Amino acid sequence: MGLQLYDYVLSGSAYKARLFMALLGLDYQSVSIDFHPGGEHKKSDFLQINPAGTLPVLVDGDLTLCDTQAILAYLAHKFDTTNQWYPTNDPVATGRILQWLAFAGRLTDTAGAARLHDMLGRSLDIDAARKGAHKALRELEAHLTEQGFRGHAFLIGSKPTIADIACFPYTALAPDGGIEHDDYPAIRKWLIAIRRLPGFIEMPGIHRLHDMRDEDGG
Amino acid sequence: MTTSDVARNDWYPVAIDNLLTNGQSEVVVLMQEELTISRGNDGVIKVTAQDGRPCPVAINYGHVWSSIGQPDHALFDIPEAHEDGRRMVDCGPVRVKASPLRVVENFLDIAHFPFVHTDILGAEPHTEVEPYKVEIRDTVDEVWATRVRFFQPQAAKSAEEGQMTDYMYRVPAPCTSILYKTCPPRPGSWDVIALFVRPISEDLCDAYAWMALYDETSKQSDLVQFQQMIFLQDRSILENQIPRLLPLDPKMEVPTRADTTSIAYRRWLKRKGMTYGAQLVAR
Amino acid sequence: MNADHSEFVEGPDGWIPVALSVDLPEAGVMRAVIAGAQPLDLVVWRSRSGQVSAFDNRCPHRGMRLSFGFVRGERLSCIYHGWQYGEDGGCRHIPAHPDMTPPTSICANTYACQDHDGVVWVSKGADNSDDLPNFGGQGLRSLSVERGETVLRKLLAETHLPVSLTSDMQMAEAAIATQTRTSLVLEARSDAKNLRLMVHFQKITPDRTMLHVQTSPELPAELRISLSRWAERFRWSAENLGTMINSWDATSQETHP
Repeated sequence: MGLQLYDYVLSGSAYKARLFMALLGLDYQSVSIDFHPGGEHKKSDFLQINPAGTLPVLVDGDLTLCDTQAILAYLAHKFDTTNQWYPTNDPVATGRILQWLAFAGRLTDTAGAARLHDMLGRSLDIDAARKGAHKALRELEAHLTEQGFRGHAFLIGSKPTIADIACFPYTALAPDGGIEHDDYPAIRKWLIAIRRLPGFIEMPGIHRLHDMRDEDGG
Repeated sequence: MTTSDVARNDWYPVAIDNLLTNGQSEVVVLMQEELTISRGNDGVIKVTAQDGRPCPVAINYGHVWSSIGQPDHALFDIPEAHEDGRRMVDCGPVRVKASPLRVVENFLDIAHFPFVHTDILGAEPHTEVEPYKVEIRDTVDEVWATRVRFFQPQAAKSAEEGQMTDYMYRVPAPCTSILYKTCPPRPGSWDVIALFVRPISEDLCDAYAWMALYDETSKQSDLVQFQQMIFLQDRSILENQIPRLLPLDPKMEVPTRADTTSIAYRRWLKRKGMTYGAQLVAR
Repeated sequence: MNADHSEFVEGPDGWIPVALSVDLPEAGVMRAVIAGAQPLDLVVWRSRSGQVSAFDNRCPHRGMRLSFGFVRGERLSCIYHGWQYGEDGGCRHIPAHPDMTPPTSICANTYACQDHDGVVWVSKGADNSDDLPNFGGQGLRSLSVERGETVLRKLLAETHLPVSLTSDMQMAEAAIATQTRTSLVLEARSDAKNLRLMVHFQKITPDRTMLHVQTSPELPAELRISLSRWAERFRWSAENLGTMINSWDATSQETHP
């Protein structure tokens, strides 16, 4: 049996797994969970699979993984033969990647939360969520600015890693929660660089880069 | 701007019937007024305004409907909802920072498919919108667009390849739009997809998509997510139209022949005096 | 802290910096806000051949923000229905009617826009012969600060800049060399040569400013990183100045009820 992903189309976290599998060219079976409006992720059938009631969940044979960042690390380790996406033979890169994977959690808790509020009407402290998101985006902007001086387009180096995949969705989707990208030129360049990766797939809220279809105009 | 009588005295979706269990209540906002929707232990649903006055209740098409005024008409009929063999799918509310009228107008538009729903509802170079027929049917006071055709790479969850898809659009109320489209597994029948919109304020709303489909194979959650994917692709467009209110002044925006439905919709709103969520004079 | 509200009654005249040129690459599209009694929401874009243009940020068709659009060749397309506009704002193509030539009346509202000395400038008036700086520097970064321009100019006059590459980072007192309506040049003396920094001010609101920072050309990456971190610290101190004063006031009120 192949890979199975318990999935929800509007989840930025589930999209991390979908995007990474697309970039690696992996086939998988998607099992859709009715997060909204059905609330299926908090019902007993799904809680048997993931007691935390969160999405996504990756199943590979006997293995069930319920943490998005763990899913990315597992997929990279098992399927990335180039050792590009998670170079565990390099202690410095490993440490840095793990740091950005944790940072991705902050993006989920701030920009992701603001999006749930604005899009699905969830009750939460929206001002705190937006403020926290801008604070995180400023940190990301500062780092990407420095990476630019080093000639590096991505978070760790000149090639994308799972750190980029982990931080991309809730940064790109921030405007869904009223957090605009206007103040962050380095982030804007990085978002475009990820969207130009071969095999990239979009999700609702992240539009296709139509300029890549460059056959007419002028 | 005060709430026009036309807006006040109409029906709006306030909850999904199936998701409100006995003894449960929820609070929603309709045109800046808080309403409490509660289902008693006897299963009966009541809607109460903040000042305690009871509001009218109708239950149909999977949703609970109410009003902050006194509708002098019954909720519109969707005859297809009563046909055997159709699957009813509630897709849930999605909040949009836009005028409810902008949301409905976008639902009537096909020319955006190749750019906003790329490789699903449309794809370049198939961008042309052929002439179609639009009328305001005075006897029923509804806007109808018929003989709409468009090339679609993946018209529905059940579609396997690209096809020319036939559409019809019906606007039975200012904040409701219903579309009929070619049903891939059952040629000759129409799938029905409706958008019911509840204005929270003039430029904020909750949109409930609802479908009545001939599809015996797809999983319910797959159908919901297909529709949510489409609507959420529209949302970032809707939240970035300037002004947020729908301009009814013809000088404000530039329509073309592809926008015939939108032109008729705007004219119909103006004629009805539906000004909630609209901008009458260019500012 | 006094915010400079007075200038916002009429709005700024002349060329306004909206981005560092390096942050608007070929086929790039961005939004820019110009402060004023009626703030302007603009789309600024660069064609494939490098030409920069600025329009009102709404497609004449259905009001969609053009900053969500995309560039093909020498045209900007709206993301909503794909309407294409040339650099003069004129609509060139409507995909829903591919065989129709759009009437010249369909036109986005344009602003004067130029790429000069590493900065993209926009002007509300078409014929604006304001003297623009010729600094000859290198783009460092743009960053938004929750402070008005006047305050930031004052604080910059008191700043210290990192000037050396050694691990015990050397800081040197900076002085304002020149100051214009839109920009100022800071100079700090290091062992070898003078380090110069040019800061361009883009008012977003009376209490919010976008700083576009350039440095002397061809600095090593390490020094640029140090200068970027200096910019972060400068922003922090500018934004926390008021907070520190306010919390001090609150403390003194508590001790003297």
